[in-house]
Amino acid sequence: MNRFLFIIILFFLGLTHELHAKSFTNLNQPKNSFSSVDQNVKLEFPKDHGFHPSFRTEWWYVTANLKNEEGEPLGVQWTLFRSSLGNTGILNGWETSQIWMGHAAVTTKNSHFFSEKFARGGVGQAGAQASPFKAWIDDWNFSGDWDNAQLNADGDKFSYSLKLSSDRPLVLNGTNGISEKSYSGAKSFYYSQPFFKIAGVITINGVSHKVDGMAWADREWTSQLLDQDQTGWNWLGLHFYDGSKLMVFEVKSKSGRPFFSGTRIYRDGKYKSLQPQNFILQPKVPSQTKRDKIHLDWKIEIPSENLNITIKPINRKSYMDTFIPYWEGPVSFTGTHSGVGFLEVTLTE
Amino acid sequence: MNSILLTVLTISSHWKKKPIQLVLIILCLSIASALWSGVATINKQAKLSYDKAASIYEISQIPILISSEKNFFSDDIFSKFRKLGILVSPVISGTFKGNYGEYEISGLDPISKNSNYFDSRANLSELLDFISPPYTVFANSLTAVSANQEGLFSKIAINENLADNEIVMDIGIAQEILNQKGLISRLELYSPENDLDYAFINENKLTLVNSNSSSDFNQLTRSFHLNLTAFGFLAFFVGIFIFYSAINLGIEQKRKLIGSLSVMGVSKISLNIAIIIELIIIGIISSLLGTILGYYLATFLLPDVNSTLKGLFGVPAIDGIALPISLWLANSSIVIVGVLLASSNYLFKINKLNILSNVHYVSLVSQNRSNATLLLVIGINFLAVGIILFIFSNNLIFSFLLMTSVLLGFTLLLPYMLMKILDAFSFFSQSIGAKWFWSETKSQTQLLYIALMAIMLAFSINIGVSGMVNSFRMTFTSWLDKRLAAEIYLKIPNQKFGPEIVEFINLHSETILPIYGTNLKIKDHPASIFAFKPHDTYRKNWPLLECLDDCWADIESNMGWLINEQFALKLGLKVGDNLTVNLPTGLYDKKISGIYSDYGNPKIQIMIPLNRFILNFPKLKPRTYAVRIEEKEVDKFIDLVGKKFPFDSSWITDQKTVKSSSLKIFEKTFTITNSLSLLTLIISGLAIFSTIISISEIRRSQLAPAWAMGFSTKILIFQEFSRSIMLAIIAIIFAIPLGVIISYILTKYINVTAFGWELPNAIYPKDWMKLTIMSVSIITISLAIPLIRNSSSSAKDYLRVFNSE
Repeated sequence: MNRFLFIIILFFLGLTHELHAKSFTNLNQPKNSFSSVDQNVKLEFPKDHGFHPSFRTEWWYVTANLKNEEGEPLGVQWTLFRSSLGNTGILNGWETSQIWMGHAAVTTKNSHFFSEKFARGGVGQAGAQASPFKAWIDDWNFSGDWDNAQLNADGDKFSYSLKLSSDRPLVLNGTNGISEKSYSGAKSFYYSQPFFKIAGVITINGVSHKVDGMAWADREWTSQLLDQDQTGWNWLGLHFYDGSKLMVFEVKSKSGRPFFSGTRIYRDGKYKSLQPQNFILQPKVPSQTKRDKIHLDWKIEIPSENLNITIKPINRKSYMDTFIPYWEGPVSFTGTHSGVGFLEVTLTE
Repeated sequence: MNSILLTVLTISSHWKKKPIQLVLIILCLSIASALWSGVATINKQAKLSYDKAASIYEISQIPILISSEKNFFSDDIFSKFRKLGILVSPVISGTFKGNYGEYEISGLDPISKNSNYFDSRANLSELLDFISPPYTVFANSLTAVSANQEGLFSKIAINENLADNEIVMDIGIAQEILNQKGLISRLELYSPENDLDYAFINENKLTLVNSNSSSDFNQLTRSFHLNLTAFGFLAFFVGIFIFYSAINLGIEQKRKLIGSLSVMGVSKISLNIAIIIELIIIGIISSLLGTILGYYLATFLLPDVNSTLKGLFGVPAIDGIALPISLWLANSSIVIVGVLLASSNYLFKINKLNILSNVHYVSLVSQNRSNATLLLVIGINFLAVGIILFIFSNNLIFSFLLMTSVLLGFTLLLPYMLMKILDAFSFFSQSIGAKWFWSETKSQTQLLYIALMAIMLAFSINIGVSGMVNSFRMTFTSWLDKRLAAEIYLKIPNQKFGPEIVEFINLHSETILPIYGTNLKIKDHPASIFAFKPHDTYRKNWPLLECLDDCWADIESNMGWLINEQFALKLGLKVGDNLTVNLPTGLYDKKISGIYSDYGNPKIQIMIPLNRFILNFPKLKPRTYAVRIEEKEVDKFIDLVGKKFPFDSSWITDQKTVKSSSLKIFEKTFTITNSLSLLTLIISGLAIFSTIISISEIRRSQLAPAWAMGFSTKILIFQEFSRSIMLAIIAIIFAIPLGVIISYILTKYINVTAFGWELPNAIYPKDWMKLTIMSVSIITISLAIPLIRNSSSSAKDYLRVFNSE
């Protein structure tokens, strides 16, 4: 599951917009019900790389762990979120109910830069199409196909232009790409490409760095991600130096019983879904960030694989002080296995 | 009442016999009014054009992009800009007529409007209500009442800061209400202007309007507008002469008919009313024709005006030309009032004359002689005013008044001077035949002098304008040579590729010099600051008007600055003075080391070394570069760079192309001036043509005695022709010095006050010759046609003269 959409949903759900016919025109004759995740639907590619307007929300999410010429670690984030105010069926023009949001960030050991963009759908400022694949907001693009793609974004003090390539198939999380989020049946469509190799140029404060490394791309869409009492999550996507990958997440709940899920992915591209009983994800000491006490140090155990690792952030200040703030940044881990990855922590406790 | 109608019909029946003369009178009046209304139309269009830009800017107070051609443009351009990384936000505005009122609608997209919009997190609910149902609109409480009655809006939020009848709403709703689906009025620009891709802006036919444009518009209001107005007045003056000539000759021709009617018992009041009614009818017909002709004149000249406004000042053009009813009415009133004024003098005279008397013609002539003296006195008065203005003139209005009084003053001297010259010729003539010739010339002059004054006026305006344009062209060309000293100029189409391009060019050329600057205020004047990289290109070529010894060393060591001529003239500064300027890194007090000419720039400017500029404006990046390279390598280089960076449109140009496009803009600027002065000249030819046609009958009665004394018809016609040509040439000779004075006033006064730069005033005798030949040709044709027509006069015609006189 990934991330952050929760927050958007919280906002947009909180303001449930009863779409009704306005008196001037018949701009919106809404069908107020969004599509739901149907167990019988099989994911199709490249079609599902594009957008799914009948669902309330979805995202295109790329994180990368890179090294510059001096071998110093860097993290890159590129995210495009779509959120719909109502399933009106109108896709073109200003009347469309689609809102887009983009986040981009570059993190080094000592610095963290981020930028945020918003756009309305229907007028070309932002969008996503399946073939040829392109997801964009303003001049930020994630395009190409899922074997060879380009990624670029910029902010006041940074910019990046990166090339991604992969020779492994996509990973369908959960059961055939349907990922459970709660004990009572909240779920989403969720697939990933964790095997991207990535290289290019990152410019920070006017200085360009040649970089390369590993990237992880996530796609997820749904109309109901969380249960009423769920409040946020912690998510980890890890690249092991042995070539395998691991994704785990925890959805926090007011009632105190968190929901766990994950996917263990092997270097040959095979993978298996992790059930709550298959692994242990637990925080070490809480860290102090600008606003909240949040967990940035974690431990993961998968007893069946004799896997026991400790995860810590590369830069504790990878705080995304965006419209809806959260923490997201590169991490490294050691223990029975070592490697790098990305951590996302929502701030709503 | 019936008797007046009958009198009107009787008087008008005269034209049945002389249709050509009626046509000519109407033609003269309509062309004169066309000149006036054409210029008025262009003037109005130009004003609309910059008012549009200025008013939009005033509303938004941030830089905006508007269409160069239309009121609305496709909102596709919005996403095109955003995809280039340029932060713009679309706005549509327009008027909506509802059942309960008329509303000024503003439609905007709050999401792109301000990138920080979402910072006001508490307003998210309001924001969503704005862009989606219930689509809240904002209006003040007064407007909300009537807007509510319209029943169009489900939620009206009150905002008392809005003007009456103004409603602010989401762009999608506004497009629908204004019936402009998919269209917008403007794009607000949030990215730095320096990031703009100008090739892209031009391709999409957009114009950038910013705070500088707004002050430029004020400058325009004063200069371009007044320039056109001045030409409107000149056209009007020439028009008045033509009016006067046409109307009076028209009445003169009916003298006999009026006499007959008077004998038949028609009262003078009835006659006067009938003449006035006829004149008003002629006036209305002429003014309608004139308005249509003026419309076509404006349509013909407007593209040049538009391209001048766009090329020189970046002002967007306006769609089409309007022909409002107010223009028809104004033009009719001007023509009718003009006709009545022009004829009043003559009507007055006719009333005083004994219609039955045979000597009335002579008495008109003697009145003309006293008129010449009266005109002399008026002319001298105009010149006296001119001298006062010459001494005290310090602004544009005074400069134009100076030009007007000099023009009128000198022109009004013409009849008297002609009389004196002919008196002298007559005095020194020995033979009776010669004396008779000169005496005839004098009597012909008295009939022609209004037309001659029109020729003099038109000719001197032409000499003056061509003098100014030539001075400017010469100065501008040599200035361009200096200013555009580099072999290649390039404008980086996309700032992202800037460093890569510069790096590549550095490898393949001798020198690459950035050309850039920014805007700021100096002593409350909108100004620009221009950065230069110290190099021989500047030291050897920069068009300095004045400079201190070692001024380049001064400037490069940051001891002094360069300022443009506009700056020096506006603030009364000279080389060596000190100048204090507030820059981002502090207040600087520097010596003015040099003053350079900077034609075409409406703003004051200072020039400082690149390193100092970067210190003050570190974020700005140059887009335009000058590249120095060996002349013979130019084509190869352009080819190489073009292949390496295959951007479309001409982002890289050689010096020749840049110069020729600069000259093209320059030429366009003066197209309207040249066209109008030439038209004035042609119209003065038409005036003399119609005068000769009209006076031919009068002249025939003068020539009849000579014919009776044995002169052949051919000789009489030839003499008549030579006399007219001679008079025209004398008028032209008088016009030359007047033209030189006009040219001087234009270059030394009007240019300085209108544009802020002075021009060297050169004399162009070749041009005078050309213009003289052209004018004499126009006049010869104008004279030849009626005289050839008269050459068919047979003995019978001359005999008839005796019979009727």
